[in-house]
Order: sequence, then structure tokens, then C-alpha cells
Amino acid sequence: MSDSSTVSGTEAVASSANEVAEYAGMYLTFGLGDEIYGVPILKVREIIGLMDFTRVPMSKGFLKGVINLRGKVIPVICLRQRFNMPAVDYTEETCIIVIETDQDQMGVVIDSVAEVVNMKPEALEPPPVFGAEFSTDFILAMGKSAERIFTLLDMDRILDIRDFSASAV
Amino acid sequence: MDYKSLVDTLDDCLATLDERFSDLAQILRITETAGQLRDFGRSCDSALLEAIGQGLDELYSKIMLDDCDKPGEAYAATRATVDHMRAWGGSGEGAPDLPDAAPEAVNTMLVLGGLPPFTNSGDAAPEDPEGIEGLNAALAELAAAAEAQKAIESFTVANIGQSPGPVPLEDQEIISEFVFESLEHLEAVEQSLIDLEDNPEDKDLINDIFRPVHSMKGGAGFLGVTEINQVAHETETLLDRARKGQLVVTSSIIDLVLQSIDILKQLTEKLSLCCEAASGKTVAEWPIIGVDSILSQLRNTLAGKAPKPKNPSPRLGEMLVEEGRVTSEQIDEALDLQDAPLGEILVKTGAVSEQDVSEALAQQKARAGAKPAVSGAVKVDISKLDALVNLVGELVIAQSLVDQNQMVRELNDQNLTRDILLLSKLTKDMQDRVMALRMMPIRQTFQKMNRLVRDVSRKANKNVDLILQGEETELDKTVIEQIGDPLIHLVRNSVDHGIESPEERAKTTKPPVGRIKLNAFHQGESIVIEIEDDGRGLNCKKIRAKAIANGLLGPNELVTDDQLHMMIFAPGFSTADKVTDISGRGVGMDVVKRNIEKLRGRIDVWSQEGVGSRISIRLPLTLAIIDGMIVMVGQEKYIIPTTSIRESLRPEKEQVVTVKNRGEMINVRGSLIPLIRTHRLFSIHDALQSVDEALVIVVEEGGQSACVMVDDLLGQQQIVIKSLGDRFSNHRGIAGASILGDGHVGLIMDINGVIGLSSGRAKLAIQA
Repeated sequence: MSDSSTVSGTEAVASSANEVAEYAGMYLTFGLGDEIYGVPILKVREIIGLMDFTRVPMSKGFLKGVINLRGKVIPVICLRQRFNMPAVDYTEETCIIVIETDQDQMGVVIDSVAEVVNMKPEALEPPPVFGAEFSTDFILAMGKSAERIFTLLDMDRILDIRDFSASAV
Repeated sequence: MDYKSLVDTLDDCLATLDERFSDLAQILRITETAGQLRDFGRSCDSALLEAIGQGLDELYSKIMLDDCDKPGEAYAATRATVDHMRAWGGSGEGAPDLPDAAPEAVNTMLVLGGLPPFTNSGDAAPEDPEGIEGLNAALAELAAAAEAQKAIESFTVANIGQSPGPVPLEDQEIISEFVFESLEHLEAVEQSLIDLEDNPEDKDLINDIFRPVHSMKGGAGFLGVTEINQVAHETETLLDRARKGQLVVTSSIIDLVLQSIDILKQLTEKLSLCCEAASGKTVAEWPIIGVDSILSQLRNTLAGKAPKPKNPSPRLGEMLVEEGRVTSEQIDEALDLQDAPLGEILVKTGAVSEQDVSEALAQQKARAGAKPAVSGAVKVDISKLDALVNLVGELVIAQSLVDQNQMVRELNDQNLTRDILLLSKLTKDMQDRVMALRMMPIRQTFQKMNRLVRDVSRKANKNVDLILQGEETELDKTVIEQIGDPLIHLVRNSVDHGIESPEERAKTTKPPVGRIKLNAFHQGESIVIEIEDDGRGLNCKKIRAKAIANGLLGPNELVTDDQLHMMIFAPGFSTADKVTDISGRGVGMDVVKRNIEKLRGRIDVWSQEGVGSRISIRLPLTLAIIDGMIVMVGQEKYIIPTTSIRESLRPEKEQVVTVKNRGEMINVRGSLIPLIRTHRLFSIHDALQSVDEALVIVVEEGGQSACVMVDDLLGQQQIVIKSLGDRFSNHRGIAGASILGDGHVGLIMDINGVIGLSSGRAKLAIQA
């Protein structure tokens, strides 16, 4: 009895591991709070230092404002606030990663950039159902390396914000 | 083109081709050369060359469609034909030394092309009934073959390029180029057709129409788009007849060709959609109605089933008879012998003097009218242009950053100051020039109205003359694109509602033909487009009654006529007694107004009952730049469009009054205007709190006024508008952004939105 249940358990893990295998690839990792997160490198257009935001009145709280990126006006959001994490003061290491979305570019404020890692299919696991500070909808998969675990983020979902105005749902 | 170079071209093409006919570009070149050969044959009265040209054209059109069952024979026959042609020699302008009978190879080629073998009987004159019959038979055959083919393949992506599955990238490029060119061709054809209606005898015009249709046919065949190919082919055949003088151009023929041009346009647009669909985008099913009906109409007309009314414009012979220089018998005699231009024969037979003929010919030309010249231009992809505009915008900003740098200013070097001044002048000039690149004359949009007025006035049984003025006036490309629909609507309204019916006009002192004038001109920093008609004008009584019925107006409310006129822009407002299929449903004018406002323009109406009406649209020169006032609220900068600003003032304490149920108001010279505390609306905490310390800007937009409270005015400047993107499109209060001189982003206040938001807030506060 116990044997068979173990087998079926492993199978379940194996099949769901296959589901996330497609997310294998290069990730840019960064620190936010105590965790290390990763975004697919192909989504990252560039990393820029903090600059002055122009606040947009009457908009959602996590929108820090808009910036001038070489003549283009792009919105910048605070990832901490998007994840309902407490805000912290900006440090030397705070920076903005510019993400390329389907329709435009968007800046995302993070605590610090770490490194670029290559995630092999076997290093990936499906996201946990519980325990995260935010909805698991935002997670592609969990990535493991020898030292640590990365939360690989689904930027398309995180940045799927149709309307920045405060009155919008 | 002379004979030798035609043969050389054909030789060239054949050298690169082989029996598999895989090089479609060469096939296309052959059909083009064949067309030229046919024209050449006609110009030097050689039926043989004309037949060869026709045959090659037909045969290679078939090969292009993969419709030739004996490619090997076809290649050999063509090869031999071209060799014969070279052997006949000839150089320069004149006809080569041609044999009486066609060589074997030529006839084989003709038969393969679906034409009868060449016979030299009666010199195969254009009027030869047998020749036409042969052509008709061939046409019918070709049409039947094409029909069968169409039954198998429906018009889908799969048959573009005749390869199943997704369209390869190179093909997509070719297709989009074809679509672009075709649409351009069709525009030109449409204009020529309208001109042709006035001068149905003008062979140059017919040629102008024939050529683009021909190249469309070729292109479509090359791409394997059967429907376009078929319609273009039949239209071409019809035009070819008209060109040869076998068919009298009547307005019903023009109608028919216009219809097929419309269908071709739709088909081309569909093709471009299909092409996009192949690259991953989805399109809804979009059936094109009328392809079959237009094909059968074209064929019926070709088969002579359509009536051939009398030629409306005078012919040379008729003119000479009119002037009494010759008798109609002499003309008939000459026409019987006709193998040269009529004038020459008449001179030869001594019926008239050469001078008489040339005078009449000159007159005929004058009646045909001069054609407008075409301006030379370079085509540039709009995205390249936009990139340049953006780059220059950044250059201007970078320049002002240097200019405003504190360190640079403190250097206090005369040379440097002068150089910076020069630099700023150059960048400004450059920006102006680059902005001018986006400017296009409004001509095309205006000319489209010709067709519209023609169609609508016929449908409504009215006589209308359209007068175009200021077609050279230049507008931003985006404005031109978006002004088309509102203009169509306004012009259609003028024809349908403005201009009276001929019977009604007869009762007045007005000329029997109604007049609509379309005018565009510059006025200060804006461009004005006027639509003026001498019709019945707006009926103020009717509008008033309707406005009261719709609840827009109190029963006894006093309004000026001008205010009444503006009511026509209210949604759902129509005073038309009956709804026609052209207009009168009351939707439209509000859309027109909204569209004009979207372009930051204004629309005004002038009208006098019985005299006519004039609608003027006032638009900014470009969409990309506005004049803006930069204001400070706390530490934040905002831009208010200067067009909305009426004045600015520092109110005294006494001017601020609180009106029950309406919130705070400012008394500006006797009128009470609601106050908007910008810092509260925008939650700016470090701003001035009391009104008498701050400034207020009196703004007006959409008929509403408000006093916007700000801390300070920083100055007025030209603002290059940057879009904030779709994610902010519902954001009321902010209309857009711009990059300020210090490199930071400044937000442009949406005055309409701010007024709406603050009045909403006031109401909420009162309810609470």
C-alpha cells in the first residue's frame, strides 16, 4: 500500500515538473525584501539607476510615476507595493529594470540586482500553493541552484495592468 | 520603345527562363513587354505584331496562373516566335519587314494562349467582327477556366502564392508591397474615371486607367490571387475595347468600371488582412459580395448585351459637319475607308483643308481640358519618419538641457553664448522642417469628395457642382487620415439635406445646379476647412421645436440662432422628415463633432435659411505640438494647453464666495465661476492653501468654465506631446505628457476631465 502511494506521488511531481520545464532559460535575478526573484532575461530591456519620477495624480498606489527614458515616457511601478510588501527607503542599490511588454515598456523598481542564471529544466519546480506573500498567479516556477531557491516571476501577469487610474478596478 | 528593344527584352526574359517557368518576375516582364508590343503593333498598323503581343500576354497570363497544360510547347513556340521576330529585323521607329502569313510557331503560340490562329484577312482591322468574336470566345473560355479554378480554391490564405500553409516571409513582403501599390493605383484610377466622364473621348485618360488595372492584373496573377486577377482582367478587356474605340464610353460604362474598382479595393484590403492573418493575427471572416455579379456584368457588357447609348461628346467628324466644312456623306465615305486618322483622309480626298482639320483638332483637345501635373516625390516608410520626428524632439530637449545648465550659464563667455544661440536656432529650424515632412496637401481627401458628391447627388436626384479650393493646403498626416470621415459626413449632409431638389430650386432665384464649396486655408496658427452650400440652410424653427421635444431646451428659453445651430451636434438630433439611405438618422453630427474635438479642433456653423450654410472646422497645425502654460502646484509642474486658458488672476479674498449646493466660486467681473482646488484634487500637500495667496487660471473647454488654482506660472512654451500609452487612456485629469526643458516629464492637464472630476466631487460633498 505504502509503496504504491509513494510511486503515484513521485509521478505527480514528475508530471508537474514537466509542466514547468518550458520555463527553462536565462533569468535575471534580483533581491526584493529577503527573497531572490528572477525574470526571464528576454523580457528585460535594460537596467537603469533611480531617477526622479513624475508623480501621476489620481492613480494606483503602486505606480511610482512616469520617467523620461531617452525621449519616451514610460510608467514605473514599485514591485514591493505591487506585491503588498512594506515600502523601504531607497538605497544605493535600488534600481529600475525596464521590462518589455507586449504593448509598451514599463519600469519596475527593485531593491538590488543580483546576477544572470541559467535555469535548466530539471532545476525547476511548480510554484507552491501556499506560503507566498502574494498570489501564486504571478509565479512561473521555482528555480533551484546549489545555494538557493529563486522565485521566477511571470512579468506578463504582474504588468497586466489595463488602467492605472485610481478609480479603475 | 522601338521594335528592336522589345525583341531584346523578350530574348532576355527567355534566356533566363526555362520550360519550368519558375522565375515569375521574368514572366511578369514578358506580359508587360507583350502589352508594349501590342501597342507598338497597333501604332504601326501591323495586325501580326498586335496579335503576337496579345497572344504572348494571354499565354503568359495563363502560365502565371499555372493554367498552361503544355509548358514545354509554350516555351518552344515563344522561343521560335521571338527568333522569327528578330529575323524580320527592323530598327528604330518604323515597322519591321513583316511576312504576310504568320509562321507556324506564332500560330502555335496563339492557340496555346487561347486565341485563334492569325489570319491576315482584311488586315484584321479593329472593327473586324470575327476578331471580336474570337476574342469573346477566348474570353469566355478563360473566364470559364478561371471559374472552375475558383470553385476548387476559395479565396483564402492558402491560395496566396498557391502554396498551402503559412505564407513565407518574403511572400508577405511582396504581397504587402502589391497591396500598397494597388491601393495607390486604384485611387488614381478613380480620379481618372471621374475626369473621363467629362471627356469620354480622351484616349490618354483611358490609357491612364488601363495601365494600372493591367499591372494589377499582372501582379495578382503573379501572386496567384485569382479573384483580383479575374476582375482586373475583365475590367482591362473592357477598357482595352474603349481604348481601341470599339466601345463608346458612357456613364453606365464608367459606373461599371467604378464598381469593379470598388470591388478590387475591397479584395485588395482583404488580401492584406489575410496576409496579416498568416503572420499570426486573426481576422474575422469577411466575405466580399459582388465579385460574381461584377464579373458577369463586365462580361455581359463585353458581349454587347448592354445598350450602347449615343456618344455624348462631339467627335471630329461631327464637329466638322457642325461647322459646315464637310457633309455627313463625305464623313461616312471617309469612315468606310478608314485606315488612317479621319482628318488625314478628309484632307487627302480634298474635302477639307489641312488648316480646318488642325483647328478642329486643337479645339477638340481644348475641350478635353488640360491634365494636372504630377509632383515628384520620394516614398518613405511612415515609421522611419516618426523615428526621425522623435529623434529631433530629443535633440531639441538635449539642446535646451545644455542651454539651461547652470554651469554653462555661469561661464559667461560671449562666444559660447553666441554658439549656443546658433545651435538653438538650428535645432528649432530643423524641428520645423522635420515636422513639415509629416505635412501633406489635403488634395487627395478633397478629391475623394468628387466621387462622393457624384454618387450621392445621383442617388438623391439632385444637380450638384462641387468646387474645390485650397487643395494645396498642408495638414499633418494624422489629421488628414482622421478628417476624411467627418468631411464625408458633412459633404453628404450638404448634398442630401442642404441642396434642394431641382424642382424646389426652380421656384427660387438660385441657379438650377446646386453648389457645394470645399475650401481649406491657413488662419494664424490653425487650418480652417469650410464646407459651404447654397442650399436651403438650417431651419431654426424646426431645430427649436426638436430641441424642446428632446428636452435640450426649455419651452420658453431664449437662445440665439447661433446657439440653435450648434444643437445639430447634439447626439440623436435630426430634423429630417424622412430617413433616406444616405443620411437623416441623427447619428453622425455628434460623431463628427467628437472626432474634430479629438483632433483638438473646433467646429462652427453659419447658416441662413434659404441662402445656405457653412460649416467651418478649425484645426491645429500639427497634432504633435501645442502651446502650453507651465504652472507650479506645490513642487509639481503641470502644463495647461493655452487654447483652453482665458485669463489668469490673483483673486482678492472678497472675490471668493461659497454658493450653496455649488461649492466655492470666484467672482470674476460679475460672473461666478467654480473654483477647482488643484492641490486637493491631485493630493499635493506642499501647495499654497489659501486662494488669495495663490493664482487662479480661468479655463474654458466644452462650454464650461472653471478657475484652476495654482501656485505660480512658470511661462508659456511649445510643448511636444508624448502619449502616456493605453494604460492611461481612461485617466481623467491627465491628457498626456511632455518632456520639459530640464529633462523631466511634465503632465498635461485634461481640462475637461478636471472640470468633470471636481464638479463630481462637489456634488458628493454636498450629498454627504
